[in-house]
Amino acid sequence: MSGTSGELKYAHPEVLVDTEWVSNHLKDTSVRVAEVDYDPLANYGAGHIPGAVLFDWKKDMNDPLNRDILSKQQLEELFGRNGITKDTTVVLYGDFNNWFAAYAFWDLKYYGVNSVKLMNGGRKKWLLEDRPLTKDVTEYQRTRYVASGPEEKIRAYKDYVSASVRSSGKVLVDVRGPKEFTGEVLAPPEYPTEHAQRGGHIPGAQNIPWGQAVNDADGTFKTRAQLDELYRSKGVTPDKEVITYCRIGERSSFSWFVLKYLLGFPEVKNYDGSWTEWGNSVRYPIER
Amino acid sequence: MRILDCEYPDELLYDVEGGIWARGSDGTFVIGVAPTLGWTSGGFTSLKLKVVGTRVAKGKTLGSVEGPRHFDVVRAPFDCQIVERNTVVLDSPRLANKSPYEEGWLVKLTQIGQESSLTTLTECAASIRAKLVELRVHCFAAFPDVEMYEIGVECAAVLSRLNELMLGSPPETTVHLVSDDPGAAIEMERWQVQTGNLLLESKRDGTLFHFVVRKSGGTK
Repeated sequence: MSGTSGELKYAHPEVLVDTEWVSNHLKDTSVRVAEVDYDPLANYGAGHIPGAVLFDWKKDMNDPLNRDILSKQQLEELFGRNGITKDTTVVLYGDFNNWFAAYAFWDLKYYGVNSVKLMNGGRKKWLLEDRPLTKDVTEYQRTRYVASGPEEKIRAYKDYVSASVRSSGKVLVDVRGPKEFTGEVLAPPEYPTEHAQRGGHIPGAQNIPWGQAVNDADGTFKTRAQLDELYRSKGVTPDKEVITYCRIGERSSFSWFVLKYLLGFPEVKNYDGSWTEWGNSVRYPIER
Repeated sequence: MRILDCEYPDELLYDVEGGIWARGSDGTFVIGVAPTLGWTSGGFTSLKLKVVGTRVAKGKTLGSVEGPRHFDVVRAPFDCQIVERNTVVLDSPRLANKSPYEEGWLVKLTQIGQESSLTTLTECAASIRAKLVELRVHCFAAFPDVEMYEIGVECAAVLSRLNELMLGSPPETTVHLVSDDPGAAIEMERWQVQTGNLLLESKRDGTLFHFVVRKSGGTK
């Protein structure tokens, strides 16, 4: 990771920067910092890293008419509007310990964006360190960005997941809370509209809640050794293909990021349809 | 003074942007969180404060608050030193939601610098109102322990979920229930009589109905 010692020993440290690195690159024109929040109003709107733009996940990162993640054209427009070129390093951070920033990271990788990084600790760490915030929104000169991809290798669809259930060499990781996994609750109380018809989980899935990968005190990722133990203890090992899912595919992007980049697992896919698709589908069995 | 449906005591000073209130004189102030911050958090689950003796510059953090919906920091309204922390609220952060102006205070500070971000309620009432509207803050008769958003769910199903929740919760549990069923207001009045639980508040916000209910102390 840029700016820290090598103690965390991640497989791909180049995908992380720390808050100090961002502080030192606030005036670097080759870097574009973007905040991605669940709630932009109470976060980005209340003050953000100077020069940072907002990627609004509801408006910018989804294609609501197709129930899909943002289209290639949407990404090109988003990047063009924010002055991003192929030579820009995009640094993402956000609320909820980078939950939505990690979802944006996965979206960007799906469209072949090469130089994208997460700021370790996200908004929480930046605030706790008393670093500067501004309400000023910087306008950047529009660029023309041509995206590549899609990289289907990192995305799983329902039929693929169905064919992977209890398949040797593959493992499903359900990153929701334990009560969602057992079906006791249909959605966390904070996200009441994201219900499914049924509560439970995809047969054979292992329950490893996404937040277990984070140090709660400052929102940073746990060390590689801690993460390795977390997944290994549930039989999630690098010799297997891993499919992560949650309720709407965002928390699972976070765990996808951990598995693919911090632990370096070769085959990791995010099933973004997740429980709101599977839990509502006819003749798709579940377990409780 | 009541601003929209939130209570802001007249005698306190406020930092609207920082979401805090202050009470004091002669350079010693007690600080706590205002309803804006309490609401956006969704109910505090974690609360951290710097240790007694720490000197904090104006605008720097005294500590942090976190709930299921939001994490934020609490900033010093002036250059100060922390002289006391509310250890009770550190152990039960929800006290800062339930009793924000009394038992739920956070820290006691001695003011060092002259410059301050605090203003009187008369000076800042308009900006508080604007903030409450912007963040869509609701204040209720009692700060809820549990939130139930039942949108698109028919009233009978909502009540069955509510009863199930009440059955598994200790007495005095307060629930904020949101429904868009047009018959909800009448049904909730009936529910109160039938179950013996309390309907503390009932209000309409556009097409949504907000109810605050409390489980009675008995064995209903």
